[in-house]
Amino acid sequence: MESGGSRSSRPGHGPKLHIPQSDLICKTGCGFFGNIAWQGYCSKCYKEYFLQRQQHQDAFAVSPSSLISRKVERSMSDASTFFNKPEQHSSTLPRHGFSRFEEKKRHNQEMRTTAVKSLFRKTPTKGVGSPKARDRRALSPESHASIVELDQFLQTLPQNAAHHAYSFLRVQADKLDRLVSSGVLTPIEISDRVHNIYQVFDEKLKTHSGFLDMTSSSMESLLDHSERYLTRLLYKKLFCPPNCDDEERDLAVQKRIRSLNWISAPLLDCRINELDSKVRDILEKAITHLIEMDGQRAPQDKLASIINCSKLVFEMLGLSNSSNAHQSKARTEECNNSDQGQTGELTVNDVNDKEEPPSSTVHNSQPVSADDFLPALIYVVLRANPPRIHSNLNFITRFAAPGRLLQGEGGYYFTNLCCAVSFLENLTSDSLGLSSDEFDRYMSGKSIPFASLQAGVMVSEGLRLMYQNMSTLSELRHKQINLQQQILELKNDMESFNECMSKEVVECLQMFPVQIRGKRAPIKPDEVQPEESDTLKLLPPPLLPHKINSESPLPPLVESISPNLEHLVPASAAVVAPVGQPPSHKQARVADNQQDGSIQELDLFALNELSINCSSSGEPNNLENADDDPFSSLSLTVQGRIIPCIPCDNISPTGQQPPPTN
Amino acid sequence: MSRNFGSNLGQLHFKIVLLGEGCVGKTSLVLRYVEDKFHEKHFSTIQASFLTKKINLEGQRVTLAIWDTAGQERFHALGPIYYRDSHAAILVYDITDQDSFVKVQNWVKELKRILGDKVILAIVGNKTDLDKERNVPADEASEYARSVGATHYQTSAKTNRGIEELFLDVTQQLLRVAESQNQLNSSANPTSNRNQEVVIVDDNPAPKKSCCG
Repeated sequence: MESGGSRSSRPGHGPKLHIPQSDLICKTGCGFFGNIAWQGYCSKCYKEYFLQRQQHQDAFAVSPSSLISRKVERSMSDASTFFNKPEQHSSTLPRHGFSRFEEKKRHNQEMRTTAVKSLFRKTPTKGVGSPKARDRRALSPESHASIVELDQFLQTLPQNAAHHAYSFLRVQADKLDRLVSSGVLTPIEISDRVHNIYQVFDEKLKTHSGFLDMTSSSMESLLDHSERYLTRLLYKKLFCPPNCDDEERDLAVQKRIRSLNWISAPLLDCRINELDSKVRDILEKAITHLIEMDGQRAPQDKLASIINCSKLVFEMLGLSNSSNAHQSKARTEECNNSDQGQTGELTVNDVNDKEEPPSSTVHNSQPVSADDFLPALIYVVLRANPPRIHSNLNFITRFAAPGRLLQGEGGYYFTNLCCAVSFLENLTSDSLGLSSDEFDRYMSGKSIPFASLQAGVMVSEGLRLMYQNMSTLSELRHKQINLQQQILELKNDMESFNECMSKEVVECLQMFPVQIRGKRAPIKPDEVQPEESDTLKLLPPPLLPHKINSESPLPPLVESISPNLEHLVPASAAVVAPVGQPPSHKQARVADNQQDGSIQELDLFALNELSINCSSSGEPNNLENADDDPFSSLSLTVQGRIIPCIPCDNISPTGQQPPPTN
Repeated sequence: MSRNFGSNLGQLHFKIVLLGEGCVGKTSLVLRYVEDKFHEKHFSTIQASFLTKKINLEGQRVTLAIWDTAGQERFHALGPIYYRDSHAAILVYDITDQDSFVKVQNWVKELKRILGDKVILAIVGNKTDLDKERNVPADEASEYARSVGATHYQTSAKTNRGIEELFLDVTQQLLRVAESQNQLNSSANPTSNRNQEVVIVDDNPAPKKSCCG
């Protein structure tokens, strides 16, 4: 039908588009007009070209680089596998039918060749784990890699066991290949056969003499490898076989998820705080893992992708937990009722209700449980819209080793993923707590729930960034206000402290008034005239520096005084003037003069007295009151006694010495 | 055999599914059992939806895989996907909440319908520490449990009462079933007849393929 249309309609269009007619003609030169969509061929030639290319591709498998780029393309955007979506719906069926026919034809061809070759294969394989050249030629790099991997693993095993395992797996793989290629088996039958192989192999491992010397752990990994080997080798034939409706279901799910893209996290009762950039990073990683699942071939690798994705979902929930912990609400009383009817009251009109997305906070203090996990996983599936999800799930169910899905976390997460897909497939207005009217409106795209807008589901990256920036800004503003408040507080504190301090200072000043004494004029005894005051008359006459000769008899002086001394002053206090007793005039002077720093004067006195003592030992003192004051002589002697020991300029002020204890 | 009680390298694996309404304490219950923790307030990142516990009972090594399920009403329809192939189901209700007990009764009906009589059922009244707010009488619950062939337990995840006993008892029942199953298996050769193809509930039958080209 396509060819007919193109032939009849093209000639009229040519000149209008300003393209030379020669460019519009089919590249092969068959005379018909070509089409850009068919790479410049006319429909008929394109069909031939397409066929050739397909065969070419199958024979010399896809180059690794294109494989990688295909994978990248898939992870980049969920729609990339179905990129030409608008026109696809119109052309899906014929095209798939077409390619499927080709596949069948090819299988038949292959069957014939394998049948011939199987004649030669009957002889036992010569070396352990040496794949034949035939395989290398006909297989895709993935399948080839599976052989290489098995080969490598088998080399770690005892030779006997490796040999048995290899020959068993080869035979089984060939048998399975032929069976599947014949196309008579339903997927369930194929799955049963594969499981049969697993079981037989398992039993063989336990009973066969060839495997006796294997440890249980290496047995397990051998089983694991055999599973990987079989599924990878025959991936193209096992995955989404032509005689089932997996492909249609895939497309249906894909379309369904796309039409549900207005659903936001709060609507699912899912506590993902999407405005947090960290959470969004993890969300994107989780989505990538989920999409990557399609690129994996062995069931265990697909399961590993699911597990990784689920782990990230938990991480994301944990992070969201902590980030909206502050807006948590006590929800215990709500628990008694079902969770329905709490969500979904937001529509485009409810723009005011910005602060609290409904039910975005559910019992935050709990560890992440299934109640939180499933909605989050559903949301991830919704956002990821993983390619060929249905086929992938079916592939895992059909060809994973039975224990894998029954025990272990892989099985649990796989089940959850199945639940998520099933939930999305059967989603109704009830399951979101919306009225059917609202639901229809959202589904038809007439309106968008506000929460979706806010969560950035529907909006462009730029708008999402804007929301994120807005939240950052408001956070900053909040911090700024806080800071300002704290500054004010600090200022107040400082002021009150200042006031308090000055008050205290004033009080102290009042309690202890300052008495300012006039500055004491330094008295220079040398210049004081005796007639100036009576007290000065009491002072001894100025003493002149007196050189003490080494032969000058000091010890006699001490000896002569000591009997006088000893009963009055303890020896330790010898340096000190006895403050406890009424000081002599001279001492009073010394004490007063100290404050003026007149140590020199003191020295002077001391020397003075010394000279007095020295010169007038035994003679009556020339001071009038020497007799009245019995201590004057004492102090004199004390000072005099010390002088010879201490150099003159080092004498410490006597007033600072502690007074004698008695 | 969809429910495979067979041992794998001398070790028994059992799948136990936890059912019950949200907030009845399923998660706390299993966390208390597996990790002996009760999270009343503090925040924790650990996940509590799939936990395994290895125990040694009667000289047999047993691994329990405990599957938590989402309790929200909207996910009720997904139940069969969860409890498919499970060996035992623990149905939890809140003794202060009559509705949660009604939910348990619905679950029991559903389980019986889909898994048959062979599944081991345990009906658990949680939160016995809130005994003075009790709304579900203990006799009524145990009477009901007896009538459906289930065992009734009373637990408190908060005060750690009755939880160890609950899981131990369930495991013992599982072991008994496994033994009788093994005897059956040894007399009659087990055929691997897997009926677990349907992952996603399939409403429309596969359309017949037509050859085009």
